[in-house]
Amino acid sequence: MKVIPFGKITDIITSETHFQIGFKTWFDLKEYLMMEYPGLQDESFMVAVNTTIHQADQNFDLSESDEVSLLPPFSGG
Amino acid sequence: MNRYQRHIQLDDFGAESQKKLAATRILVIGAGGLGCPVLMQLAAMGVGCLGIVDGDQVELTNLHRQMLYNEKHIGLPKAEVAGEVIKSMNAEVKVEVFSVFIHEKNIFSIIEDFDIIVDGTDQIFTRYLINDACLAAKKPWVYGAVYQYEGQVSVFNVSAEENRNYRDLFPEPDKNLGAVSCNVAGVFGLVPNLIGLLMANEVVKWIVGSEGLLSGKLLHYHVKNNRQHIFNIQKNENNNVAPDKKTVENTDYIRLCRPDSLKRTNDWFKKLTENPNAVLVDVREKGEEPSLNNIPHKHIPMSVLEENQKSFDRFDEIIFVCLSGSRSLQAVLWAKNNLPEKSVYHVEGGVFEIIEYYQNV
Repeated sequence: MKVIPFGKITDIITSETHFQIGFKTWFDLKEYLMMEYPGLQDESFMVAVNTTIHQADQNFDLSESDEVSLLPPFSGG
Repeated sequence: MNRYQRHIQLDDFGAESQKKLAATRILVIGAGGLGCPVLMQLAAMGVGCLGIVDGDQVELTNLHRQMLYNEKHIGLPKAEVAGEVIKSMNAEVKVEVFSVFIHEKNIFSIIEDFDIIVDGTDQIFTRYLINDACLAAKKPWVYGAVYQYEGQVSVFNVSAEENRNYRDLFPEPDKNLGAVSCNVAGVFGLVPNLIGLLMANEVVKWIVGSEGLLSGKLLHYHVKNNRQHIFNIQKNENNNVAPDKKTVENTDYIRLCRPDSLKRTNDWFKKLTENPNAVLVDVREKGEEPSLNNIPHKHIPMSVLEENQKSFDRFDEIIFVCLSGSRSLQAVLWAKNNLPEKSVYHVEGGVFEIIEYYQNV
């Protein structure tokens, strides 16, 4: 499973990270990420699984081959 | 030879599409990093009318990315300069200049006469304001935003059926300072230009009705690795906002997007008198009136905050002030990132609140 940080989240998870642990759901992965990267707790972001965007406070199933993107708000212009 | 001959030669574009461009009125809010390339490209391609909204002046730090401006323009109103340059690029394009900042009270009268709106602003509150006003006024709008080496684009509220919008991504403003502007985070010069051109591309696609419009999709581009993603935006169940004009006009968007922790400090006087390591910092530029003469403070203009970071070493509590509370808020955001160990506040009422207070004690 691959986790890709975007925008400001790259300050916390600095690059694409592969996880060998098989997380069954987004909440499992999220709990692990929050523990591993405590800085995430202060950030707001959406989560995209492959190409579909979900809200980070909603749970859904994950599979081993999923690409999980963490998308914070962008406001620069 | 027709000026747009090379467009007309394109089989799937042709004279018909060129006519559509010439018949369309486009409003660009913010003539900065994103607004410049949008304006330049659409002007060159021969759209009917470009509205330009910006209340800011050209600054030296704009020039590494905002290519409508040159060194002679520093200090001049952006919207007016942009209008002049655009007219000299293509006299066939009608230009309407609004040298104001957009806010909830003026947005409806400004967007009213335009067919499509482009958001080239750099603040989170203007994105919610433009989103809600465009929903209420039933206008499509093109969203673009950048962060350092990355940027994103989407087209919102295309029709009553295709009405995905910014609140489907983030239903409510981030209260944790998640979205910071270029003034705070920095931006690589070509990123807003690249993203701005992609925004102009969406405007043209919308006008001529071609396929591949980013409606319901969020395009993301990273210049370091050239990776591009296109995400599908789902209808967000938490997005129950169906704004009408009156509600938008009566919402204070700046306050809506202000982080809870930065709420007005009305006990700044108490902090300053009780804590010897507290300091009042005026972040206005040199020569701005009224001055804070006779009131203990430090004067560190916003433009040199970064290089004067060391001046804050001996303080643990910093209270920023400016004329109206907006630059001081920017200063707080900067300090949250750069001086995380300090307690930072700002005086929402600006220098007048301070002067009035001292007059009454």
